[in-house]
Amino acid sequence: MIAEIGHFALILALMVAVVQGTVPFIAAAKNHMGGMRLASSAAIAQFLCLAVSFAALTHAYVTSDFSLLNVVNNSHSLKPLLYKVAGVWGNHEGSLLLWVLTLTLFGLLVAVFGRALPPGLKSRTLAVQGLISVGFLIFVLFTSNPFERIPVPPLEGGDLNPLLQDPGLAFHPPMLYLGYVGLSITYSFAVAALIEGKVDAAWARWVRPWALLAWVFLTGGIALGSWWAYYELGWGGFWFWDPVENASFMPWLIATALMHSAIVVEKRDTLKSWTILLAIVGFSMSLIGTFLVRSGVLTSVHAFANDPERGVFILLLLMISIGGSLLIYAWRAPNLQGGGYFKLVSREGALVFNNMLLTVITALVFLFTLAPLIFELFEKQITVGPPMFNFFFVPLTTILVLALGVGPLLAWKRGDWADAKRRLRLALLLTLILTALSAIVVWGRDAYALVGVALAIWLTLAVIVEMAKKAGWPRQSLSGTLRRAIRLPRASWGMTVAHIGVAVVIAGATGASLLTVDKTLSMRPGDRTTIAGFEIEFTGAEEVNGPNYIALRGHYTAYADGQAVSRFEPERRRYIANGQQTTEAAIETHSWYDLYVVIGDQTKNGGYVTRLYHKPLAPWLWLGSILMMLGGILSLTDRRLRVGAPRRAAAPIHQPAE
Amino acid sequence: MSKRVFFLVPFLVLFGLGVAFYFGLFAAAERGQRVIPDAMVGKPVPNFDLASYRSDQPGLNTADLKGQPQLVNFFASWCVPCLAEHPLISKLAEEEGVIVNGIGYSDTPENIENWLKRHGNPYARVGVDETRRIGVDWGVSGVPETYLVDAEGKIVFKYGGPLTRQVIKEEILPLMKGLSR
Repeated sequence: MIAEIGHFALILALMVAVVQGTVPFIAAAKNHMGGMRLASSAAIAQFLCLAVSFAALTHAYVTSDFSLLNVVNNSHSLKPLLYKVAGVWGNHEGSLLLWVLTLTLFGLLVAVFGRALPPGLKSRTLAVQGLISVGFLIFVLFTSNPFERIPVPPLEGGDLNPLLQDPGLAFHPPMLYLGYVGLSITYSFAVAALIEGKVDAAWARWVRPWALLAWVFLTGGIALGSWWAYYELGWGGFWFWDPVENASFMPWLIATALMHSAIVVEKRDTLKSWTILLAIVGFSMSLIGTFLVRSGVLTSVHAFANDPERGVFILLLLMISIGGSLLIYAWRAPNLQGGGYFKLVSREGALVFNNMLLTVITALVFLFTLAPLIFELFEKQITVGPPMFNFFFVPLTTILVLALGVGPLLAWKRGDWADAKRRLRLALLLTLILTALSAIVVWGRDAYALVGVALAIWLTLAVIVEMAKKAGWPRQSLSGTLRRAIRLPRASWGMTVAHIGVAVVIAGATGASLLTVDKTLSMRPGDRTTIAGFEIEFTGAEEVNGPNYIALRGHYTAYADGQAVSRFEPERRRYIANGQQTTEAAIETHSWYDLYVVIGDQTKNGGYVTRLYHKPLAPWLWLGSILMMLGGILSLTDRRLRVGAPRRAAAPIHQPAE
Repeated sequence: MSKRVFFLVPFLVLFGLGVAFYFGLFAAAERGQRVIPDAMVGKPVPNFDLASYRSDQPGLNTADLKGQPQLVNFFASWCVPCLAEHPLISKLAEEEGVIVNGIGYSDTPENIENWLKRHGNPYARVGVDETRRIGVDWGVSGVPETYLVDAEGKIVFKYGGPLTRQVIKEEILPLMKGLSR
């Protein structure tokens, strides 16, 4: 009964979406206020319908209602409650439902918080959202209905893929979807602006918070996924350039570019058609990401179902939505008038450079991700591994980070190169000294690691220099600079914190990939071995029963200078429902390093395969990601984004205290 | 005019991609069909040795499953669908002459003995997998579940859920006939 209510709400949502996707367009063209207001009501109604539908499916999972095909295939009554709930989106049908729910959530947010928007722009934006909804709801209802019943309900379900039964992964998809789908708002804003033929500073100011919000969630989603891979896959990697990882990384890169180029539109009234294109491409990348995961076009660990019928449907959806918006772009964008003139050495110049690099990186990631597919069309098989991605990604990112240190120091319109150089001289010198010091610490490990360390130090110092400049240094005394720095607008703080986050992530990535020490050996109870100054003792292993798995649990103790400092209990789990195995690494996190222990199969001599890793700076990856998100959130709470007129000039220092 | 063509480039790129994706989909579908549906089908029976519900009854181990094709049926006294399929299993054993072995899954020897006493024991041999350890090796997702093992001790067919007349008539008996020839 409850499942039928969910199904019915879904059909109702489709009808509401059809209204939302058509009426406001006509009303906006005829300047009919009532028709335009309908867009907001429809957006709220659509969200409510989907909330009911989603709640119904969640109810079916929580109560293990095995009369639903979707629940049978993806749940098990022994599964802990958290994973029963997470199981709702751990499969094709449910994740699509979550996708549409998120889409309507953003529609609701625009309807409720977009009071200041001009009615024409608002109703057209919501109408574009409505059309996206129509496409996806048809897809859900006709090819992937999560509420399908089966005539003979079995007693037990097939369980959720055990790799997905993990707290990190339980929240990874919703977070990532908030990011993916958040980009639909900037997309809808872009298409609405193209239809209206008007892109100005005000438009950029409305779009930027949405781009920021989507970016914050994307950052969080990607970081969660990476964290999960780090501790669950059991070989200590955090990024594998897997097609689906790339599918989330590309929208992130574009969203990053969009956030920055929207600043130029807002402050300088130029780069308009480029910004519009980024907004369209950002969401397109999300859609392509969805397509890549769902269709099985690219072989990946994440693929849910290989079903060409669904694939063709998503492809069609993709071509209509992206193709349609790009056609409108080709028709309208040439008429957008660019405003401000600027020198090459200026804030605009630096932001254009940032955009160019980010776009080139995205294009290369895209090409390398799709290379196997393109080669397959010519009957050839290739695999593109991480070394090929790193080959272009590392140098391009290096240039990006070097420039990132300088860019914010340049003024709008015409930057002062000599002043920037003078201010950065000390930062450069300090970078060289600190890098030389780190060279002594990590001597003989990996020369490339020093490049990463140097970049992280450089960026941190350059960010501090920029903050000091904004706060009045060197005209002010040290204490005066500090006092003013605290009172800088939150957007400035947001930028500072996010950029430092980038530096911390670079340091973490360098440590986790280039400075790692690892050791694989067979250990018998009582055996001892050393790694990076620690002595590790294997005290034994036992079999333990979990709620829906049986695990082999190893016991290890780490000693430093003869003192026991930590204990490790890595597990190797075997899930009852389908016999799949997972590894649960035991990780001890310290501020400067992770110690990481994995237990494997039993060997012939009675020992267990044990892998040990010492990963310097690895926890900084997650710390840096959190800083980046925090920066985004700080920026979002800046009152200039909430109220007030667009400003033409850079932020003045004497901002009223908040 | 040339400026307008420039703005059409993104659309043309997408169009090319669309064509590539379309053909990629069918290549992917072809690839997908080569995947074997169940992990254990086609593999030899896992190594195991289970005692019966009473020490004077024959238990079940890997070696018992060699020599001639036979069925292995996972059941439990707490499982209602197992009771539902029980008459069909009795019929298979008594009327069709099929060797059916039982593995009592996640259940105590006493419960299994009582259950078999009450409903009849059609099984040639019974093993008790109280800890579910052996079920995990077989890839059991729930009870009842039935496996068809050939004379070499290889799993050739698996059916999850209570057996039905249709499955017995259309799948199990034809497979059995093919294997005994």
